[in-house]
Amino acid sequence: MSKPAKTLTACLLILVLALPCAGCWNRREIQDLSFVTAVGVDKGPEEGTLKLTVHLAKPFAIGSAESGGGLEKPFLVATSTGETTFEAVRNFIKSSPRRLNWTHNRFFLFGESFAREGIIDPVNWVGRDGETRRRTLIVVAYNSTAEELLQAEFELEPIPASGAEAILNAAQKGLSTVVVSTVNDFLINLKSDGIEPIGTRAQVFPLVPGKTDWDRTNIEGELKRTEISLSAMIAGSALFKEDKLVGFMDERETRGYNWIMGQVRSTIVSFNYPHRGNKKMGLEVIRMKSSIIPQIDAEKVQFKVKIDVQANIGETSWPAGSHGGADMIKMVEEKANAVIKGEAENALVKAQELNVDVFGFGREIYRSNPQKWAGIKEQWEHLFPLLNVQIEVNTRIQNTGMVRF
Amino acid sequence: MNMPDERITGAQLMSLMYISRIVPVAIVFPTVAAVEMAQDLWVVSLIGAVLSVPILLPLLFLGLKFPGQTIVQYSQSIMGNIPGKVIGLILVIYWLKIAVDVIYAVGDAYTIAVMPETPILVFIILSAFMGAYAARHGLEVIGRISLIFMILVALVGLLVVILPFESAKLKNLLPVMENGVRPLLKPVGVSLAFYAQFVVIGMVLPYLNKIRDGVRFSGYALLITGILIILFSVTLTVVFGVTAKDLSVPAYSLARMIRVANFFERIEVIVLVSWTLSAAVKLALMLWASSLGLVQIFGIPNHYPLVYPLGIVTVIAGYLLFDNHMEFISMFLRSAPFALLMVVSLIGLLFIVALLRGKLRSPGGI
Amino acid sequence: MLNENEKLIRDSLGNSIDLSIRRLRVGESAEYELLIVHLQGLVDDWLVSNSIIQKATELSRKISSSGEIFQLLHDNLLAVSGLEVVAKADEFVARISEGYCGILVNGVADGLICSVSGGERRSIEDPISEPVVRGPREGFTESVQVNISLLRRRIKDPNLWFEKRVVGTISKTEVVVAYISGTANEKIVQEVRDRLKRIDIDFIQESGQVEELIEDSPLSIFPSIFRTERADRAAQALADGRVAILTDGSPFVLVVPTGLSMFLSSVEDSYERFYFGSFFRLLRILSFFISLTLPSFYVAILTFHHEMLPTELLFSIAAQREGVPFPAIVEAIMMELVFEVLREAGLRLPRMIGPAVSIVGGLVLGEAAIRAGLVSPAMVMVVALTAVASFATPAFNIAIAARLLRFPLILLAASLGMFGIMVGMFTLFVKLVAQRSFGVPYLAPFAPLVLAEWKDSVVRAPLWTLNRRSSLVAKRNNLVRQEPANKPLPPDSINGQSDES
Repeated sequence: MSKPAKTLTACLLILVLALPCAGCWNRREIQDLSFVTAVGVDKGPEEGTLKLTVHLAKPFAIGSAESGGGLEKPFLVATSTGETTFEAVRNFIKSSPRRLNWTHNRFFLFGESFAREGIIDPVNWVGRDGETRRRTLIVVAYNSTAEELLQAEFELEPIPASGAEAILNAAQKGLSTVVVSTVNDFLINLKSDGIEPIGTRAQVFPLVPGKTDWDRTNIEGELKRTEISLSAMIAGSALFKEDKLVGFMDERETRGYNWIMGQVRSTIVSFNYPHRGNKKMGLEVIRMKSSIIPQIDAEKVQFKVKIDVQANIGETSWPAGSHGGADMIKMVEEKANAVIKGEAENALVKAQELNVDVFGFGREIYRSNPQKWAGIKEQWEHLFPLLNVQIEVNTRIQNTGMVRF
Repeated sequence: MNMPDERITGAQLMSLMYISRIVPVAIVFPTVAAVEMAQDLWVVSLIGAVLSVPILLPLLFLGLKFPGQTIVQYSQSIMGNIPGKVIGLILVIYWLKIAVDVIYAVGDAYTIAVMPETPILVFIILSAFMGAYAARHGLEVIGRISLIFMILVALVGLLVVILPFESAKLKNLLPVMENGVRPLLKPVGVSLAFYAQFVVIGMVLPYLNKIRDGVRFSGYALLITGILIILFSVTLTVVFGVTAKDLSVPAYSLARMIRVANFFERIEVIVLVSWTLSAAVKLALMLWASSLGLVQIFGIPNHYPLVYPLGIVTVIAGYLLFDNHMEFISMFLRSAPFALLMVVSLIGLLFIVALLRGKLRSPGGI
Repeated sequence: MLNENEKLIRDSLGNSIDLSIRRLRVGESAEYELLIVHLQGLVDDWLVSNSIIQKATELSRKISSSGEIFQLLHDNLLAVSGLEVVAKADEFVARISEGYCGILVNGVADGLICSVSGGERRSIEDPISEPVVRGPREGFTESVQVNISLLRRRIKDPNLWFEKRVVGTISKTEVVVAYISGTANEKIVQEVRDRLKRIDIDFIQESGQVEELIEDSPLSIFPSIFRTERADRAAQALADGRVAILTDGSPFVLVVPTGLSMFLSSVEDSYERFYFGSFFRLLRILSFFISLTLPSFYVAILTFHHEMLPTELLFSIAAQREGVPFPAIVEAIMMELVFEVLREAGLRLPRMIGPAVSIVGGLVLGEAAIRAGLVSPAMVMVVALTAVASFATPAFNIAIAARLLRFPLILLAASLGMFGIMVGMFTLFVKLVAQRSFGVPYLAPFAPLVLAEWKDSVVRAPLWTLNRRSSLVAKRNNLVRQEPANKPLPPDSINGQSDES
C-alpha cells in the first residue's frame, strides 16, 4: 500500500472506531426498550383526538416466573392520547420510562365507535413506519372499545397477544369462522377498486359467568396468577366501506364469506339429516376450493360461484353401519350442498344489505374485463346490492371414518 | 498503454454484470415507481430483458474486434484521438454518475428502512470506502469477490422471491396491460437505462482470459438477471397488489412479509447483507472503470492514485445532489431516457464508424 | 606447526570450555602427531572414540610421511559416514562450531572434517500441536537431519530433493528446502530460494522467524505460510506439489504455497471415511465463521435489529439483561477479553495447573459474573460458543487471527449494526482475496472460484475420485495422481461363486 492510501485508511479507521462514541443514532439497548405486543385505538376524550392503549411486555416478569415471582402480570397496559396516531405513539414517552418498540407488535385493535369513523390514519402509519410490520393483524372490537378488549387475558398464555394470535390461527385453520386480515390485505383492498376491506371481529366476555368471589379462584399449574376476569372470543368479521366500519358478520356468515372466497381450511358442517328422522350429523371439511366466475354480457353482469368441497363424515347421532349404501352418501352430499349454499347466500345477503363488496366481485370484473369495469365502475355502488350471484356447491364425501355409514 | 497483468474469467464477468444489474433492483427498484399499474411490472421486466440484447451485442462485437483494448482505447482508435477522448470522458462521467446513484441509493435505503436517525453521510462515506478499497486492488480482486457475492446475493434474492408465498395472491397479476402498450414505454425505458449500464463491460472485456467466453457469459448474465428480476416483479405484485407501486424499498418490504411455519420470519436483515455487499462491488467496478478510463485518456501511469479521490468526489456529489428519496427517484426517472439515449447512440456511433472505416476487418474475427 | 594450529583454534573459539582438543601420537615410534578437535555435546562421544581415536591409534605400521597418514585416514581408516577435506583455517573452525569433528595432521596443511554429529536430542514424539485420533504419530523434532529422514522415509522417490541454505550470521541456522522435482512448480521453488536468499539477519531459531521474513503479505493478520509438526502432513503436502522449508532447531516445518482452506483442514480428513472428512470440513468452515462473527452479530441484533429475534427469545434475553448495567458492546468486549485472558493463562501454566484455571475461570467466574449481574447468561453463552468454535479450527494461528478480528467487528457492529459488520467483512474479504501465498491466491478455490478443487477443500471426496493435483499449486503438466475410474470393485468371481452355490 502506498503512503497516501495508508493515511486514508488510517483516517477512515479512526472514523469508524470513533463512531460508537459519536452518538447513539439508532442504538437502542434492549433494556432501554419496551416491546409493544398489541395496541388498541379508540376515540380520545376530546373531539378529533384518539387514544392508544398498548400492551407492553414485562420481560422480567416472564423471566422470573421460574424463580417464584410468577404473581406479577407479564405485561402492562398503558394509554396515551394525541391528535394523530404517530403523535399519540410519541406521547407514550411522557408516561413510559422506556422507549416503545413496535417491531414485535402483532395486533392493531380498533374500538367499534372509532372504527366507524375511519381507521385510515393508524393503518397508514403501520404501512409507513419502519418498525411496524405490514403483517400486523387488524381486529375490531365488537360492541366495546379496544381498551376494554385489551383487558382480556387468556389462560395458559401469559402474553395476551400470543394467546390471541394462537386462537386466531387455530380458528382460521380449524373452524374457518374468522377472517384473518393483515394491514397489507387491508391496504391493498382499500386501494383497489371493486373490493372493500374486511377485518377480524373480537368480543370481550367475562371468563366465568356468575362467579363472584374472584379472590378465591385457584388455578393450579405453571401459571399461578389468581385472577383472570375477562377473556376474548375471536370469531366473525368486520366489514368496512372504504376505511369506515359499517357492520359485522357473525360466525356463520363469516364462514359463508369464506366458502365464497375459498378460504375454508377445515371446519365442521353439522345439520339435521332428513332421511334419518332429522337426527343430527356432522361433516368434517378436509379441503375446498371455490371459483368466482363473472358472466358479463352487453347489458348485464352476473356471477357464478362454484364451490367444491371435500368432506368426511365425522359424526352421526345414530349407530354406525345401519344405513345402507352408496346412494345414501349422495343424499348426504345433497343435504350438505344445500347447507353450504345457504351459508354462502346469507353472507352475500348481509354484504349486499350493507352495500359493501367485501368479496371483490367488482375487482373480478376488472380483472377479467377492464373495459367493462371502466364503464360500470361509477355505478358499482348501485349495482352491487342487486347483483345476481348463482352459488353452486358440489360436496364430495370421501370417507366415513373408522366405521361405515 | 498501461495494461497490468490482470485476468478475469468469464464467470467473473457474468457475476459483475449480474451484480451491476441487481443492485438497483434490490435496493430501490425505480422501475416500480415508473409503472402505471403494478401488474405490468413483470411485463416491463421481460421486455427490458429482451431489449437489452441489441444494446449488448454491438458492445461485445467491438470488444471482440479490438482485443486487448478497452472501450476508451478503441473509441480513440476508431474516432481518432480527440473525438475518442471526448467519448471516453463522457463515459467516465457516466460511470461516476452511476457510482453516485449507487452510493445514494444505499444510504437512502438504510436511512429509510433500518436506521432513520443515522445521518446518511455515514453510509455514503463507508460505502464509498468499501468500493474504493476494492477498486484499488484492481479488477482481478473485484472479479473474484463479485463471483462469491453473486452466489450470496442470488441466494438472498431467491429467498426473498420464494418465501413470502404465504401472503401471495396470484390473482393480483390480473389484468395484464389493460391500457395497451403505451404506458409501458416509460418503465421499459427506465429498465433499459439500467441495462445500458452494461457499457462498463467495455472496460472489462480486454481482461478476459478467454475473450470468446465474453459472449457466452454475458448471455448467461442476461438470462439470470432477467429471470430473477421477472420473478421478483411477479412476487412483488402478487404480495403487495396495487400497493406495490407505493413502496420505497420493495425488496426490504418483501423480506418483511416472509413468514414460514410460524417461526421462520424476521429475516429481512439478509436483504441488508445483499444491499451492502452488492452495492460495494458495483461501486468498486464503477470507480475502477472510471479511474482506468481517466488513465487511458490522459496517459497517467497507473490508476491507483486516482481511486480514492474519485471516491471522495462521489461522496460529495452523492451527499449534495439529492435532498430526499422522492427527489432521488424523480431525478433518476427524468435522467434515465437521456442516459439510455446517450449509451445507445455512443455504441451505435462507434459501431457504424468502425464499420465505415473498415476497422472491423482487423484480426480477432468472430 | 600443530601447536600453532592449536593456538589458532583455541583463539578463534575463545578457548571455550566445551572445546576438546586431543593430541595423539601415532606411527611405529609415535613420531607423528594428530590433533583431534571437536565441541563437547555436539558430537557423538562413542563415535569419536571408536571410529576416530581408536582407528587413528591403530595407525602404527610403517609410514613414511605425515602426508601418507593423511591419505590413509582419508581413504580407509576412519569409520565415519561423512568426510571432507578443508583447506582454510576459518572454515575448519566454522565446521567445528557446527558440530563436526576435525583432524589435523602435523605437517599437512589440510584438515579433515568428519561428521559424527550426535549428542542429546529429543526423540521422535507425538506431535502435540496437531493431535489426531487416527493417523501416524510421528512428529518432527528439532533436528533437521532427523526431519529430513522422516520425510525421506515417507517419500522414497529419488525426485525428492533437499537443498540446504544457511541463514543467520550468528546462529548459522540450517534451512532446508524440500520439494519433489517434477511435481512441484519450479517457479515457486525458485521463488522460495530467492526469498530465502534475501534473508539477512543475525539470529534465527524458529521456523516462525523464517516465515516472517519470507511472507507475501507481511502486514496481514492471516498467515500466508502453513506450518505443520506432522511428518505425514508435510509429506502429503510435498506430494501435492508444495514446497517444504525445514529449519534446524524447530519442529515446525513450513509449507508453501497455502491457502485458507488448508488451514481449515486436518490430515485426519483423508484417513477416515470421506463422509466424516466432508462433514468435519464443512463444520470447521462454519465454526470458523462463528468464531469470527458470532459476538458481533449478537451485539448488532441486541443494539439495532431487535426485530430479528423471535418474540419469545427476545423477551427472554431482555429479561436476562434486566439490571445488567453495561451496554451490550461493553459486555461483549469485556467477556471476550476475560476469555482471552483465561485462554492465555491456561496455556502458559504448567500442565498440572491448567485445568484448574479453566475450572475456576470458566465455571466459577462465569457463574459469579451472572449472579453479580455484570453480564447476562446469553452473553456468556455466546462467548463460550465462540470460544469452542475457535478451538475447532485445527490451525492455531488462523484461530488467533479470527479471534483478534472479532474485536474490530464487535466495534463496527455496535456502531452501525449489520451495515458495520458488512463493512468489516467486505474489507476483510477484499484483503484476503488480494492476499497471495507464493503467487497462489489465498482464498482459492473460493475466490477465484475453482469448483473442481472443492472436492478436496470444502469437502473431501472419495480418494478414488481425486484424480488430479491442484493446478494452482503443482506443476501444470504433471497433475495426474491416478487414472480415472479407479473405484474399487469386488472381484466378479466372488460374486459369481456365491451366486452359484
